[in-house]
Amino acid sequence: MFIQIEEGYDKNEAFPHKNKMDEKDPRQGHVSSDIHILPPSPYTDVRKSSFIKGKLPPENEEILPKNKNVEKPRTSFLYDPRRKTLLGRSSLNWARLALFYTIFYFCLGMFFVILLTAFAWMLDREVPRYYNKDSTMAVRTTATVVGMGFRPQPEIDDSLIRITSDPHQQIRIASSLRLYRDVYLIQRNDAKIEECSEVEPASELVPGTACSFNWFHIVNTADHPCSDNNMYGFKNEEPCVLVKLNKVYGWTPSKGPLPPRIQDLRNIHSNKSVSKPDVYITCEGSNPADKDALHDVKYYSVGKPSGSIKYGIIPNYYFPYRNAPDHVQPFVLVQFKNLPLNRLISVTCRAWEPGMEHDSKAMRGMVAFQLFRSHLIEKPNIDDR
Amino acid sequence: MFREKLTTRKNLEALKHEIDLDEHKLSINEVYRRYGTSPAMGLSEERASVILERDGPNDLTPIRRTPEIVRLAKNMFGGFAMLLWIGAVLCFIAHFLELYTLDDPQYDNMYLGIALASVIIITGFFSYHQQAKSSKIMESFKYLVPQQACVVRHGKSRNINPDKIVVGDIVEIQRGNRIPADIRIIRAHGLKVDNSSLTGECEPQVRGIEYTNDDILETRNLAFFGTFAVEGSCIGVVIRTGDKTFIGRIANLTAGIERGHTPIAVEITHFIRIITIIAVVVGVIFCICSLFLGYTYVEAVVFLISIIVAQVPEGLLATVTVCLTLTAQRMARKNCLVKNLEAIETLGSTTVICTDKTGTLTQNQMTVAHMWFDNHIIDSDIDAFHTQSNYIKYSHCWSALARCATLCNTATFTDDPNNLSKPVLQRQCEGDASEIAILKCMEDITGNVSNYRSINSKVCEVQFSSSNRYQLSIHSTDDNDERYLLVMKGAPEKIIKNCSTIYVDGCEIEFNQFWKTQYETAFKELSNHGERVLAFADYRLPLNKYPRGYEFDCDTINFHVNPYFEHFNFPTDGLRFLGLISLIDPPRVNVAEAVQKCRSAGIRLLMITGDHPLTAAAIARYTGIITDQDTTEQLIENVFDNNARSCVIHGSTLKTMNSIQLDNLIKYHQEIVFARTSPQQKLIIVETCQRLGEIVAVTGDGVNDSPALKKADIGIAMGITGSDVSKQASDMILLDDNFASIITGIEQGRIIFDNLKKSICYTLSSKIPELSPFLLYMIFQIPLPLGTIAILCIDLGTDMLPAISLAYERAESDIMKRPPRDAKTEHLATDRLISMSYGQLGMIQAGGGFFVYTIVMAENGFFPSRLFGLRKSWDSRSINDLEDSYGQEWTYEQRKALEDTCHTAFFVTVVIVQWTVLLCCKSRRNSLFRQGMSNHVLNMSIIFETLLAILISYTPYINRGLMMYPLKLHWWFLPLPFTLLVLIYDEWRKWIIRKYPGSIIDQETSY
Repeated sequence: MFIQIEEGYDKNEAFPHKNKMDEKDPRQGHVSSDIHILPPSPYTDVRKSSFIKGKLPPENEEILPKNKNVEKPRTSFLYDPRRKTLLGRSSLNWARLALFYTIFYFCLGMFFVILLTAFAWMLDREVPRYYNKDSTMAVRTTATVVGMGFRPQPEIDDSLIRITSDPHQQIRIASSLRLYRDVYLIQRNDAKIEECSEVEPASELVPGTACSFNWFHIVNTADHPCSDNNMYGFKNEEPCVLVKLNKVYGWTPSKGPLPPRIQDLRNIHSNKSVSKPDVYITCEGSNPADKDALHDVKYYSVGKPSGSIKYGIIPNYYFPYRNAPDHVQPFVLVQFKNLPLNRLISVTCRAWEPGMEHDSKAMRGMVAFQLFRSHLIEKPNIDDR
Repeated sequence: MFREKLTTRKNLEALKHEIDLDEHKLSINEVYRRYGTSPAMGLSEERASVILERDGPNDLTPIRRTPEIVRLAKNMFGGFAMLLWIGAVLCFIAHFLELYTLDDPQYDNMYLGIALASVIIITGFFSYHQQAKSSKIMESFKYLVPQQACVVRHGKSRNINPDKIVVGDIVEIQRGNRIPADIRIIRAHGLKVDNSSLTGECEPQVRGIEYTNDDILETRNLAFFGTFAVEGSCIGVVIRTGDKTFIGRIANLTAGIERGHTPIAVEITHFIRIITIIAVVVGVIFCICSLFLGYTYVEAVVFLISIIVAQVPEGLLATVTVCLTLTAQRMARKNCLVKNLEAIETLGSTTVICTDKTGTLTQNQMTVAHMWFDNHIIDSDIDAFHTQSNYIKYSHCWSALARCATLCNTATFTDDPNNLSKPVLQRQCEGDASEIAILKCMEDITGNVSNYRSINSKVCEVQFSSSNRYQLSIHSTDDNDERYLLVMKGAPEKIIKNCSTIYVDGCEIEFNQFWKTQYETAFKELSNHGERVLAFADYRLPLNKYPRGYEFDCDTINFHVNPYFEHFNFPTDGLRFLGLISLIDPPRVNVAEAVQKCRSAGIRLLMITGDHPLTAAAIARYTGIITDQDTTEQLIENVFDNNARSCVIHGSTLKTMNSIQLDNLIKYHQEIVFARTSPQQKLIIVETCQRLGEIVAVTGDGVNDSPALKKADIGIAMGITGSDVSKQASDMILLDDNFASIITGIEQGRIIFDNLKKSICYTLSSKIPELSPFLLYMIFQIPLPLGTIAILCIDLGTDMLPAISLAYERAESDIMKRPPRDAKTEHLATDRLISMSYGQLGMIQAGGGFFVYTIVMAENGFFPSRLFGLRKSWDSRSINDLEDSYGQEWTYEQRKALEDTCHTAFFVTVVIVQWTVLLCCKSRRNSLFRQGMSNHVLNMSIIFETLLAILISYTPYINRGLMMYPLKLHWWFLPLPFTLLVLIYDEWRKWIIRKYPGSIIDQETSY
């Protein structure tokens, strides 16, 4: 063995010996041909590549350039300049992969779109598939949870209403409410509306028609404290805040005796079940200290008496909401007068009707916002936050 | 620290060299002089204590046990767990970032971090427990130390604790003692030592005072620490103690060997690298996107972390561990005890098995193989015997041979009724291995040997000794022949000299040249089989010279003292030659079949043994390790011929080779038998194989195998015959010593690799439907379709059992017919697997998820057109009246309830689409219809995951805790189109792969 190896080295170093070498080992020059003259082995079929490599006489290894390049540099897996491969794939390979995935995703996308179209075709655009107690709106309860909203709300993630003496700020906040009013609270002349009353409640309307109710039903004169001219009260630092019940398809106040709180406020104590109760709205400070600060509150509502200092009323006949195009959700304007300066007041407004559930954590049947009255000129950048 | 490591490495290199010992070559007096001792006086106590002080006690440095806490930590922080830890830490960072910068922080990242940490800890403890259960810590070297040793000090012999023995001590060893240190023998009486744990030779070796060989293991005048004196007694001078002894060096070598990573660990590292690269790349891309979309830096960083963490496969660590454990349990039922879980897969990717001969391939029990009488070689196989029984029954020559073999035999069955009631082959015996073999053979054929012996009582005997190499005894026979019968057994060349006639076909004829040639031929044939040949002869002593009652003088004592003493008062020549009996340590049943299976599985087998080349080659031929029909001499020549397929190489030749030559030897010969190899050489052979990129399995049972066992990628020890040392050094133990169990192991190892691939493909496929909701939430500002808790429900809940059930999947094709995987190119997780899992299966699932999300949203009032850009309002607590497409207004609570309903629906969708993904992952090429549904664990897992999803969605308190909502019944059916799509697509894909191998589909999607 040693002799042979030494000979092999000699051959590579000194070419004059080449003839002798060829005589002795005819396979020397033809790397591929020596496969055929190998004795048969049980491994040939299964370990062909290593077998061939393994069977080469040692001196052949230097002739084979491949063996030298087996050790690739470490970065070559990212980009191999020699073979022009990026992450082990040539450009052609990448193109092929891209083609495959283009087709694959196109087909998958088509499948998705077709299914979705079929579904959209089946879906009713007027009536939600699930509403009221069937919908997720019921959360984990069996009754519908109705929330409330307030306006103006200039910041999406803030429930603070600033009341200032600065006219710019006043315009800013008033325009927020005006925008809302113009979009949601106006019924045009050609709107499909009908007058609603206790005898002709919303529940008996033809589908697609809405009750006649809009902003001007409450703010009926230009010198109303909450009118446009008064910048909804912000001009006088006596803001009118719009408070409304959330629209919930098909929801109506449920039958039953009025809540004790309302009975107290109305001074009519009766546990008699009311079949079509109105919705009462009250606002007060969230905390005892806030309650003291809020002593002058006025409710303007469509229900009588408007301008009450106890509560606002949304008449029962405006319910239910049926997704009519011209529907305007009935609301109550709450005017806060004589607000203390430089004091943040948390206000909670609640809706009351026999079946209404209140949960201050989940804001069921209530809404909370803050009022802050100040005379300091606000730095613009704070507001831009 | 580094220095320390360097020095230990140096020491290890030193240990790899052969022990440097020349005491056997020196004259005994020189040895005395070297150690300052004398045979009569021994050492003085004072001097002994000085030496003891210098050399340390005569025991082995105990193996440094890995502290339990370190073992636990390895399970907690190794490989995969580390990835999860990084994920968990990132989660906590993201959580704190959110906590300090956002007004309304979400706790999702914290939950995720806690979940990740718990997964790691639980899995860590689980695999630690598994490991602790199957690996018994054995301080086995301790057992090798004899209880008491008898030394001569101050001219008096006394028993001392063996760890007090020092070099130069004169020790006395009796039969049954363990040799307390490496000794040079001064005087011996029929000493035989069992060197099997050192050399693998199963027969006890004769030891005496002669220097017979350069090789320290073969020379007669040395006996080694830890070996067993089975017969005789001796006095010797201690030349090495403690760690310097032969075994001590092996023990230190074994303890010092550090093994590389297991192939599966390498694969998992590779997998982690791929996953990490993808996670980071995707994370960075979307982080940059989010900055362009106008998110703040903090938000962008939180997104980055969330995206990276979302791609951590939480359940995979547990899946892999459980899959390996299940396989380990399955293998344990087939008598393969796996000590190291990761080793299971190693066996599957093994490319070379280096097997020890004695005790592994063979039974380590001498058995009669052939007999030669009447000029015929008879196979002594019991079955063969019965077919030839008539021939044997009527052969005079056979009866003479049988009589001789029965009588000239000192072995006996252990006298115990319990023992005697056992089948012959299983009985306990006392005596020399070859005598036992003959005894058993005779008992089997003729029956009742002890009775026969008692009626042919022994008058006189000369015991076997290494110098005379025969044994004889004289009997009075019961066949009405008054003459005494002299029977003799021994080495053929010795017996033949003493014979003048030969008994053939019932006639006693002259042992002429013809018969001598016949004998030569038979002898050669038998010894070429690697068999140990014994010759038998007898002689009727003439009645006139040796009448009844003749006083035979065997002078055994005299004979032992002077081995050349041959002056008995009876003749020992002119005998009648009867025949030959040859013995072999036969291969175990099934070994040949197992070797054949290894072959077809593309695994090379190398035999490494301490035994003689001839014996080794014979067993190699018998078992099919060598398929070359050339003679053994030719095979030995083949070492120098790189074109030869097979070769047999002697340890002494191996010693002269450098590493390049060794590389070539192993590279160019497919079938190699290494004979007469030392433990160090075994280690070097294993290292060479590993250097050539092979994955090496080593099987062995002896102490001499343990360094190689430890070094190998997987060491396999024998459970019954294996020494404790070897068991400790190994990763796997064959409890039934059956080499064929290795085949099971290989098969299981290969199946588990395939199945882990499938498992990973399955587990990863749910990563896209988990990640894409977040990306869409981020980019299109839609309400989040799938929340963190739901993701955890998938990864650690519904996906776990199905992923594990794939471990039970049967092999797709005959995996034992294909070559072992190439560790360089065939990876556990390839880019194609990721592409398939993420890009195809995952995307279909995600499609299904978004489809159901859209529908749940729309049916509750939010049309897709409304959803885009809604995120900020949706997630704002201050907005209590968010309008949907039907004009309804939703409070924050209601919106979140809807969002959680969507999460539930998305989660359920993933579960339902995973049904068919699981079915698709069952096979990589085969159609599902061919693969079948016989994996009942998998079938059950589909039902289980569905039930779990139902439970999570509907059980009152559980769903509240996991923020899930009950779904409408028909939402459960919405994913079905996608479920079917997965099945149809995958069947089509596999059909293309089968029909058009090499096509673009095959190249891009077959993993």
